Amino acid sequence: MVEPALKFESVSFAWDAAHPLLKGVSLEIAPNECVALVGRNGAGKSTLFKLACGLLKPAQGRIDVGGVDTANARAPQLARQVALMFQEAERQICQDRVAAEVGFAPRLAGFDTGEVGRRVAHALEVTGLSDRAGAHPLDLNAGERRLLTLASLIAQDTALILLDEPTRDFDAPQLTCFEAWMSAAQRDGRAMLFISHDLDFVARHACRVLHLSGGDIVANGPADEVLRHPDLQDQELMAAPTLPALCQALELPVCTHLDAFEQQWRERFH
Amino acid sequence: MALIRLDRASLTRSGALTTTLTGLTFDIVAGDTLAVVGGSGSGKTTLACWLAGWVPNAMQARVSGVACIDDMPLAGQSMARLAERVQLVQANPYAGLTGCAFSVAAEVAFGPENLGLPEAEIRTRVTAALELCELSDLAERQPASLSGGEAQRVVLAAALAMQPQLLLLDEAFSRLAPAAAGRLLTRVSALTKGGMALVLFEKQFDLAARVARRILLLDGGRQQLLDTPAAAFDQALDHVRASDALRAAQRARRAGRWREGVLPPLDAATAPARFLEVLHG
Repeated sequence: MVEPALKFESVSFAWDAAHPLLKGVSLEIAPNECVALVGRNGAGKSTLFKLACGLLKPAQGRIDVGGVDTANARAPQLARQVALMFQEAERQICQDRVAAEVGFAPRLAGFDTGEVGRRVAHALEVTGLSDRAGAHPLDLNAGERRLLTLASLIAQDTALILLDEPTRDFDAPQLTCFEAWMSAAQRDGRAMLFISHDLDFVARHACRVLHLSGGDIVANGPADEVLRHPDLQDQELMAAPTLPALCQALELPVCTHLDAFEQQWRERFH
Repeated sequence: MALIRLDRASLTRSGALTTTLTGLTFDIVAGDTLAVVGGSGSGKTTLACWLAGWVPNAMQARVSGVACIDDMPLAGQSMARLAERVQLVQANPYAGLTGCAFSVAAEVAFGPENLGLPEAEIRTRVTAALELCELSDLAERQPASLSGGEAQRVVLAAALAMQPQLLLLDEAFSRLAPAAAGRLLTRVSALTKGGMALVLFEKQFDLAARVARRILLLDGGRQQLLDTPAAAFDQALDHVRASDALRAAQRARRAGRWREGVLPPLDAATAPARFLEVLHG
């Protein structure tokens, strides 16, 4: 059997003992899976991510990342297995130049200058930040700053990637760039777990969706089933993801990608 | 009289060689709702800071043209006095917390306390703001322990408790779950009936178009258009994010697969009706 990229076994955690946030959560992410984690504000999604990468230790239960128990692992060991994009880019950035920031993890991992340079150049190219290499990270706009944290993850080159609300800061062209990377990373067989409130984005990329509520995973399945929960939907608007809902209203075959819809609409329009 | 009036207004940040915002011309009246949309780096946040008086009063910049609040230049206004009338909620909620309150309720009370209001009035305002932002259950929580979405609601509540004439929301719903974002936006928008002017700064078209009477599209610090959401639709979607249902409509319109005279949908809920109108007239 293939070892999961991430495994939670009955994990509990509390910031405040009187109000446990996670109550015996169990989950598994396979090495080539792209999974979304959804839930209301304050449900514990970001806390679950910090547990998954070893920044926090579980009060009870066990967390394995690529076969490594996070409770006993040292940080460098975990950094080779898992990368985390923080919810706030500003809380992640620790260097005063873009190139130095992207090279931070590979340098700490002990790679030689040549390899660090290659990784940095590649990551900056993928994220379109090559001409910003010498800039101060805080001089970047919010979208670029988010792409910078993505570049750092690319340079870290781990099998498991955790993305906490990755798309929020992007404008339309930056989102296109990010989704191109995400699709390529999926094809590469990387395991990805992401938090997002953009249910269209979730439907486009997640092969499975986990719904965290009341301290546990209350649903685990395909996007079109899990996302129906009223906690996740804006009741005043059309059901999200919006493209399948639009297809149904127009009696077209259900799809989650715009190219597919465009083709169907072309046939229908004529 | 316009609450805010900009006429050929330009702003150059201290140390910058080129203007950050160039030739902006628009008015905001009491009860108005305007959405400023644009891509990353288009100048939205700088404009928000300008209207709030943070630039150039706290952060240095050179300004030219007219930029007035109640016919008085924004530049040179007292920050403290301006805060009584204008409140800005920024995208990063942690930057908006005072750091000197030990509970959510105390955080929300911070502004009204500094206005020197009577205690009963402060309590009334705090209770109302907490309720509107669905924070009553979190009133005693330590602000530093909040999640991103919770902190964003606290910062919004703190701004509302000031009962501003002008509320500036710079991607202030970005960390909220869609259900909460929709409810809060509807409630905040309802306050404009009482005369509060609302300006949203957004990279998400659906959210902006939902309540805005006009859309101002910024690109490279320049005002590309100022028009109704329907008229701004096609051009704005090239710059900002939108739900797939709206994006599908934009693609159909651009490819000429749209009936002339049928308006674009402004939210995902109206998209099916618009598409059906295109098919059946």
